[in-house]
Amino acid sequence: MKKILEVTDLCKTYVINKRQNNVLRNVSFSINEGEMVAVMGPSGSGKSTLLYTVSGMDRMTAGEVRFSGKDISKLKPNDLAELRLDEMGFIFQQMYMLKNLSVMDNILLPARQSKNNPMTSKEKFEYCRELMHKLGIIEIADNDINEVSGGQLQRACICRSMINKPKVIFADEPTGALNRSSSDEVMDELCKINSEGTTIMLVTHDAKVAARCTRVLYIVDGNIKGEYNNTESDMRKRERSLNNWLLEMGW
Amino acid sequence: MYFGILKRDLKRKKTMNTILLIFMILSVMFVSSSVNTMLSVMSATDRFLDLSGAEDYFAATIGEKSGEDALKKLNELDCVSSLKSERIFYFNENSVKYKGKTAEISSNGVLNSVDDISIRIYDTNKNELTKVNDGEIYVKSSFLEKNNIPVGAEIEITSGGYTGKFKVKGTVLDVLFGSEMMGTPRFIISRNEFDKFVQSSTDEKYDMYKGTILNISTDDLSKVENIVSGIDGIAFTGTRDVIKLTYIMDMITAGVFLIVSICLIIISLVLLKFTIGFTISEEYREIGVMKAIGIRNSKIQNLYMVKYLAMAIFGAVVGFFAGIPFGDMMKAQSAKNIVSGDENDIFVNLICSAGVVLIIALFCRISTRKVKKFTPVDAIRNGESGKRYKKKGLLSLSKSHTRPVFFMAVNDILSGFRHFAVMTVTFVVGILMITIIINTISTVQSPKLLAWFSMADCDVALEDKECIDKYNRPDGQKLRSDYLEEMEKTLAENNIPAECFGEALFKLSVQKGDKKTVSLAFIGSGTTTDQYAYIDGTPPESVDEIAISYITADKLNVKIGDTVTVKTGGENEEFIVTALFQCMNNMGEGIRLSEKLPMDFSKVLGYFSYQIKFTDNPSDTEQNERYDIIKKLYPDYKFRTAGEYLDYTISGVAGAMSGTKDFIILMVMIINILVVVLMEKSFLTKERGEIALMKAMGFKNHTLIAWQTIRIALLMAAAVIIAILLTDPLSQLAVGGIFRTMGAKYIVFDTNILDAYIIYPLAVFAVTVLASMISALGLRSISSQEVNNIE
Ligand SMILES: Nc1ncnc2c1ncn2[C@@H]1O[C@H](COP(=O)(O)OP(=O)(O)OP(=O)(O)O)[C@@H](O)[C@H]1O
Ligand SMILES: [Mg+2]
Repeated sequence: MKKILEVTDLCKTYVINKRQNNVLRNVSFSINEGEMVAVMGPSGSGKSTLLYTVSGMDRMTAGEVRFSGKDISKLKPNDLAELRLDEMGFIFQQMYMLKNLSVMDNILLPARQSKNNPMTSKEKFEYCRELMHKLGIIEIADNDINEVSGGQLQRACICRSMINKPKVIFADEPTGALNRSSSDEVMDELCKINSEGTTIMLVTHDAKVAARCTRVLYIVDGNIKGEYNNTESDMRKRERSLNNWLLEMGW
Repeated sequence: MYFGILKRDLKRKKTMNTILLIFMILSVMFVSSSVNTMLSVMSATDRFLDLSGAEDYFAATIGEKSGEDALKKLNELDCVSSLKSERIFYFNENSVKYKGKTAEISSNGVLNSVDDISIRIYDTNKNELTKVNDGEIYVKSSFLEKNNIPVGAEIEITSGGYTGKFKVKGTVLDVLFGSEMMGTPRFIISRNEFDKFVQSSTDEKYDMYKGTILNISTDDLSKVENIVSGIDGIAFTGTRDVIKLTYIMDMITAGVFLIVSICLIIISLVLLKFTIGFTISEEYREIGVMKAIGIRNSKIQNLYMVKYLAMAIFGAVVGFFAGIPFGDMMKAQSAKNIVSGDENDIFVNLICSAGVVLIIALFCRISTRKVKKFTPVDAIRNGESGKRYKKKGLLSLSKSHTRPVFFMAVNDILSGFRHFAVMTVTFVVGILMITIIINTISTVQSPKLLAWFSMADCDVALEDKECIDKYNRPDGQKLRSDYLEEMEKTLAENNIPAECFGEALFKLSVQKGDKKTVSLAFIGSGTTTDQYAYIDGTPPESVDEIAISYITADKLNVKIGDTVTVKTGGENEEFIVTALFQCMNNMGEGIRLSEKLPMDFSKVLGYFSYQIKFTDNPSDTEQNERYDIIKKLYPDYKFRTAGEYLDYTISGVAGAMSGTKDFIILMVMIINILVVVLMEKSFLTKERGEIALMKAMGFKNHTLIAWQTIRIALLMAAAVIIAILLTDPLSQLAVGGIFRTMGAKYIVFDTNILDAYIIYPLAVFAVTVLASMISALGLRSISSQEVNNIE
């Protein structure tokens, strides 16, 4: 298996009022192509920070992050931006979108902005419709973003993260703001996308969500305390054994 | 909690608050000082008239006999309650010499003896001038300025049969001849010296140098006017109001500042609306919480008002104090010809400052009404997030082919139209100030304006200061036209195909039925009547036809086709009115007679310059070459291009305006920079989340800066277009009024397309866009992670 993300000795320190806060301390792990990795851990343990640092949204203090072979700490801000635009997708807990654009235009925006996306405008438009169709939100294409439900909006965010056919999708608590059934629907979509080949790294507080991933990383105080592979095929058993493991970790 | 909100606001929006405050201070400062200046100059003119002992009506006569005649006739009138007269002695434009050279004076002047003068005059220290020693002279201050003559210098005046040498003792404040608009200067000497002029000029040919000024107190102005207009040899008449009007031009700087201050108030209000709207929509959460716990709308409104009101009051206090020295400066300039102009009426400043605060308070009340729109739930849930602007989807990215940032910029403007329109208004106001002033300057300098001064179109004006000596004789008319013909020939010999002509001015009594007036009369030499501009009718063709200014026509109630009686002194006294025209000479009163009408030129009041019109449309370089040739051919005459001549005619208005133009352009740029910084700041706060999101999605900084900048650039471009469209109608409204008081009715502004519509707007555009780009740089510090801190 090819490694899409290789993280070695990653450190991240925030300095506030001359007080150092070592949020990430020598984190090392790697993610293979096609994996779906969940990151769990107590609040404030540095999950979001990890996600932002490995995706180049935030600068690391020390260590090395290789994204499909490239050392992202060596990239300039503009190259990082380009990398995020073309090869990464992002989903956030808040389904944040540009309020002056319609749902569809929001999804289309990164595609139109990308110079490396080989599709023509028309193809991008078709692909956008196809994605929206697949995620069942085609009927809200022309709606205003405050005229749709949270679940629909999060699915639209997934479409947006997919529009440039990224190698990896990073998601920070994508189901955090959704109710159970919306959350299940969103996870269904993410799993489907993953099964079609896109690597996913997501942060979650929800064991049910984590159970649907192939692997779970558990972080405490900026360190990976444990790693768990979901090997069970039966969903029920899978959840139960993951919960047991999480209890062991101090969940 | 209230205090907390205020404190946070003051701290967080430091830049925005500062900019708002600057605008408030400037508006108060300019309003109070300019209103104060205008009011005090106006009332000071009144007081000056009273102080000086000026009565209701003034008339100046030429020739000894006409003065006696006037005195006799007026003395017989019952309605004249007091009649003062004074002897004057005229001198020509060329008769004052300083260091051997002829000094510059814009028209004939008047000499008076200090013991004889019928009004009170004052020296520079505002003390009444009652004594002038022999050999000393007091002059008009602008005469010294124009000719760079220091007090204490010696000047030489030749008039009639006498030449006197005088030491300039100082300048004089003289209500009758003091304003800038009054071209005639009056110099004051001792009685002994005055008598020397009179006694050396007993010869009949010097009669026209001797005159009388009558200072008449009456309760029946029209009757006096009627009598005066029946007297031969009247050089000047004016009511108290006309004399007051002559001080208008002295207030032009204050007027410009008043307009600027109105613009500043508009901009302050617009910014205020913007800031309040922004603050309220940003703080919907606080508002929602306050509502949820049961605080009344008005109370919440007050909370927001308190801050702006406090700012307005603070601004007003600072502006009030800053306005005092500023107003003094303006007044020193505007009232330099007035004795009583520099009293500072603090009360006016107070009222103006309070007025501005009141307007701001009212406006705040209206702007904060938005608070009511939020319901508690609404506010807590989603606040402003887009609900306000119903249906977007005007544009769709999927259907457009532009770059996404450009699309977003356009789309943002369309989605938040009202918001952005507010900004455009401030830009429009700024550009308008520039375009209007530039067009006014170019109008004032355009040869077209010659027509408004009753002159035919020309390229060059040559001033011959000896005209009166040369042509004021019965056969002067022929002499003058012969001379002009000769001039044409001389020019032709020098390869300059041109027409030469000139105007002579009379003061004639015009009558229709029982209505009578004394009007300026124009008669051309070397012209035909169709060379002048008319508003209505056809140019007079034969000698018994006449054109009449619409103001004179109104006064006499005359229509085209009517017959009027004009005392020309010749055979023809009945004339058919064939045309109406407008003129800004003599407050709009005038008549034009056919150039073929024989006139006794010994009665001429004055002459305009010789005019030269090239007949072959030469190129600019060719024109300049010709100017040099003409200067060499006629070294004794003062050479002016048509534009220079006009500027000189309206006593340097264009020059004064050019000074304010630079100031205004600079100010507009500063205003725009401040506005843009304020707006951009608020955008960066408001759109922080979106910017973070786009950064997370992979938009580069420069792309986002471009997005922000394009928006401002688009607004600015729209503002330029709107301003250009509004320039003419607003020029008519604002500047047209001034011309109208001077007697013009139909004003066509000359558009300086290059300067007014291209160069300066482009410069302002560039500065504004640059400022927006620089302030948009602030978005670099927004981190993509902030996307998660967004509500
Ligand atoms: N921009 C920042 N500046 C300074 N400290 C920060 C910043 N962002 C996060 N931190 C600190 O880093 C630590 C980890 O934060 P992080 O957001 O990664 O936690 P998390 O695991 O995602 O928590 P949660 O589950 O609540 O989202 C926290 O102690 C936080 O205070
Ligand atoms: Mg987090």
